Amino acid sequence: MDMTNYLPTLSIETSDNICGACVYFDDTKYFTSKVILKHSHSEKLFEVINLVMKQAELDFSEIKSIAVSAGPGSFTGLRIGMAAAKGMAQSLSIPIITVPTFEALALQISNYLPENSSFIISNKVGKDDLYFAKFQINSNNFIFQTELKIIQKADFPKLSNNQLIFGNVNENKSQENLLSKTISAPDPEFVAKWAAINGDGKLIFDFDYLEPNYLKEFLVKEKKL
Amino acid sequence: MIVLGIESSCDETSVAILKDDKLTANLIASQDFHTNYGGVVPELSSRAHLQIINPLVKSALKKSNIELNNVDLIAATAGPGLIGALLVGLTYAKGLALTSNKSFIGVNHIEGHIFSGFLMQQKPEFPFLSLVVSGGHTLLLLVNNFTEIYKLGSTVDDAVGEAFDKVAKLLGLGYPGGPKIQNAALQGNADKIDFPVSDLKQKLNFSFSGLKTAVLRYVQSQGGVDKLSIQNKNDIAASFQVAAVKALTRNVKRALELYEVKTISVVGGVAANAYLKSEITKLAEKYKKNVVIPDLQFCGDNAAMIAFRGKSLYENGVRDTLSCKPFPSLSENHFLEI
Repeated sequence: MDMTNYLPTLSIETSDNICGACVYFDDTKYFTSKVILKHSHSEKLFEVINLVMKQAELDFSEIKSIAVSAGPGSFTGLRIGMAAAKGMAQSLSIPIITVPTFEALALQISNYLPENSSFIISNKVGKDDLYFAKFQINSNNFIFQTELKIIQKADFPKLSNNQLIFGNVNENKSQENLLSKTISAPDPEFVAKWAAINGDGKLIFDFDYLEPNYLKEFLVKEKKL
Repeated sequence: MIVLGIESSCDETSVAILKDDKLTANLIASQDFHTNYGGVVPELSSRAHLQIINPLVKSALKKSNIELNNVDLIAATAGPGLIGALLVGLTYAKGLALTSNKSFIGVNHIEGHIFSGFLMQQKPEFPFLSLVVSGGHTLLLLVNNFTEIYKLGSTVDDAVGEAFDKVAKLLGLGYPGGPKIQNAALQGNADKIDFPVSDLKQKLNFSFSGLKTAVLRYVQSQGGVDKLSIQNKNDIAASFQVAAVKALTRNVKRALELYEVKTISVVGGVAANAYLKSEITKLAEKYKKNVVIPDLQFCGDNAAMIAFRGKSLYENGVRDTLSCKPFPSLSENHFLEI
């Protein structure tokens, strides 16, 4: 399946602090909007979508696919994005593309860094663990140096020594690199762009039981009565 | 008018379609895996809602022989309930409504229950007395019409369904507590133990935490739950059930003395309790009132009541935007004060 037949795509980003959407035709034509406001993704998402649709002067019937930032990230945030994506894709009879959140963010970061430089993206999971991946810029794109995984917080200093670090792991820490502090989720246009680049063969038409990439299994802890 | 209703406030995902006054689908997917944990695990509940919601909507449309295009209104539960669970159904519903250009209403789950009697053949007549009894709520309300609801009383601590759950857990009967207690009570002697029914300053309010503690003390006085025979447990369950139901019916009786109503309607999960039903029916006969207690499929959490409530609001001119927020609990002043 050729991805060009499934553009424009409507992308959704709700995995972390950003609530955003983008109507994306190609790299020279897209309409994007985001808000950063905690605990309001479900309220703001549709305002943001309406805004970009209006800017693009498009009717929903002209949208060919939904690209949703699929994780890892906040469980609730990911579900908001996925639930909205399912509702819209079902009503429009169009496919969903699940975009790996860290790869979309790496794609965004690779715009700003020189060839061969490497960097880490790490976001908090719970109290003691982190999502972690290491990337290297390679001919205007990125490659994984370390696959996405969950690590113990205690192991982070060792794994990130002397590296450029992005993600909310930096929060409350003074870091020399100001840019890195502010980025823990991709902008919606990079979610869309990842889909436009990688969407071939990744279009999901039967999304009935589709889930976000929670990455972390949920373990129920025993609570005393 | 065709309404698509979606409910995901706790451990049931449900989708219903109401075509004019006819319910053409009311599909309910229950998450039975929570029984392993002795209660609903919010994260697992949210994950399960997201998996089942789309197939359920497709099945409901198919069963009703309706296309999404023909739907006029999409109504989804906005609260109260588990936020993570609510967000799934609500956000999915908004996505559907936005792209199919349908009206949208975020429905209050408790209001859904209050009017669930209208899904029955014999419907409540206004004004009616509504007793809402569930795992999260215990409310006594005077309902004058679809938009005028007065709060007469509510629980000051535990909800009655919560008391059933806690006592069932205490007795090692398992979860959910309602049916477990009811079954045990059938084999028990309700006169065995005299559990207290608390009387509050506000005569129409309820309290169940004292009753729960009394059961706990009694079990302790018998040497703990491990020392109890099955008959002991059945007797405790029966005695507890009588006390809990007495607390409810006593306040209904008081309200009937104070307010002129045509119908008594008991709704919510605990309305499935057979003993409560029979006691309310006796009371209604005495006061010459109609009784409406919804069928089992409308007592528990279901989307039919959400669709119906959405429709009644729509017909009263209500519309919500897609910025409608989910909410975890009922605000103190949600209902009118008398």
